Amino acid sequence: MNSIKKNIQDTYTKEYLALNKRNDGRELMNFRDASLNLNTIHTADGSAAVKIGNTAVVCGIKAELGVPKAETPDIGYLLVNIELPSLCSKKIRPGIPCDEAMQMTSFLNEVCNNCKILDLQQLCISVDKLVWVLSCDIYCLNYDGSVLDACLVALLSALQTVKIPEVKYDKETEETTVIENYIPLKVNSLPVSSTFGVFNEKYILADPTEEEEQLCVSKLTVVTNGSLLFSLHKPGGEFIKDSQIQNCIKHANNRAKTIYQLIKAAQ
Amino acid sequence: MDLLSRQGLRTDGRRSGELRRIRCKMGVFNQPDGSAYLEQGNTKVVAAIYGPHEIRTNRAKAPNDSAVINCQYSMATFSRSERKRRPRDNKSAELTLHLKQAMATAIKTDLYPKSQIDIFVQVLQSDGGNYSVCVNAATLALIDAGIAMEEFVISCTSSLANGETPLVDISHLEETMGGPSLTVAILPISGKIAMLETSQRIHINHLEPVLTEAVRGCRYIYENLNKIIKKHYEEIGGALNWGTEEYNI
Repeated sequence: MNSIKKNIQDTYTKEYLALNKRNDGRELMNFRDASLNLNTIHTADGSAAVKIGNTAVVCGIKAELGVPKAETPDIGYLLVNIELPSLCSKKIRPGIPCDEAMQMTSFLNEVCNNCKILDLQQLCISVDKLVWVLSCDIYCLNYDGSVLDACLVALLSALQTVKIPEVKYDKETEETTVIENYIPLKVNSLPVSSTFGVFNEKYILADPTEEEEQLCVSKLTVVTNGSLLFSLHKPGGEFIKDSQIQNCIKHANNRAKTIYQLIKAAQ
Repeated sequence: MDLLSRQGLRTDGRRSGELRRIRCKMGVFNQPDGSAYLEQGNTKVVAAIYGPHEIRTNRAKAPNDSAVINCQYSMATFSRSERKRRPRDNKSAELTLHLKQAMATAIKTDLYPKSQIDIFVQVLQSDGGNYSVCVNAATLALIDAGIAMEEFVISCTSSLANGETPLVDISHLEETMGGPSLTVAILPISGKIAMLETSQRIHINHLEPVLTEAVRGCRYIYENLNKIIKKHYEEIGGALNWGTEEYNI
């Protein structure tokens, strides 16, 4: 049954793509509209809700005190975790966390480290004794393609809303006193991820929906901040040409500028 | 700190019989077959329904004459003031079961033989009455999914302040420092009680006023949600000209 459906959709989509049109009326290289809402969760220390088309994610950040690692005594922690609860898609079975969520989590953690989005030294309270641990949990509420793009936007905008209180640490008595003087975090760079779906070697779709992701044979993720390229990720699948990658990077740069404006406007 | 000031006001400024503000939206997501977002005061919940669909798990045990209801209740790690390490713990497992039992009383499972209905609720922000808000959100999502139900399932909480005054729709603060709290889920039209739970011991004479107040809270929520649902369907129906001659042609 599924193979028949896929076959029909394949031909249907191909005819559309030849006209530079997609199911939802977009052109091949058009991205969906994104919207952003800051400080949606009051119990979190920083939060943001992002929608890209129908994809919806919420990021909540909790700041806690912790002990730094012995090899890096003067930096705090930034822990990113993506949850894909069974609520967000019918593909995801309840119970064990799915592989896709784990893969996305490690990718996002890597991007955070590579881009140095935060100067982790600002999370240090007392060297070798006490640092801030920022736990960023991102929940996908509706899985309609390009979830990773939405997660990164949510993470960055949530980080910008985090305010951590000043903490005094007495080394001798090991006492901590929290002063109600909140300092906003400094976010260094704003990488934006853009996902492209490779339908076949001829057609590449920007910002694919879930339905299109199913039809696509491969994906390409470009992380950029408009001028610098942070990461390129194409996990196997159909071959693509050099020029196509260049074209994707060009579109990703434009997208980064739009998202950048969106984040600026929301503050 | 008193739960009820001498002027009769609660810690958040409500009177004893006053409920928190209700805001909701149906059909918020496109992936599930039915979905709803519900906010009661500072408690924020999303609910999603998948189904009725083929049974995925344990096909051998599936009953031939009714649907299987599968529930999952989970709390986001950032939903409380303390970070939760595990989103699904024993407490969640208990509430999952309660939710399933409460919803099962109203869903007409015999209309969907050999199929499964998934009810997923996610607490995004918690400020007391999580279970109640989840039940209400699940009801809205089930209606959005078009699943046949006997009637609504509506839940509300209440507690007792200073050993005499019943408080309705309690917040997290009132839940933790207050007296006994009671959660009830009712079918509001017939007035049947689907689920009832008390958190600690309560004097038998106090049960009646506390329960009456919780049931009154349920009826209030029912009226409000009913209005919201009608408005929602007027909006979608209006676009399609429901109920007019044009639509019938």
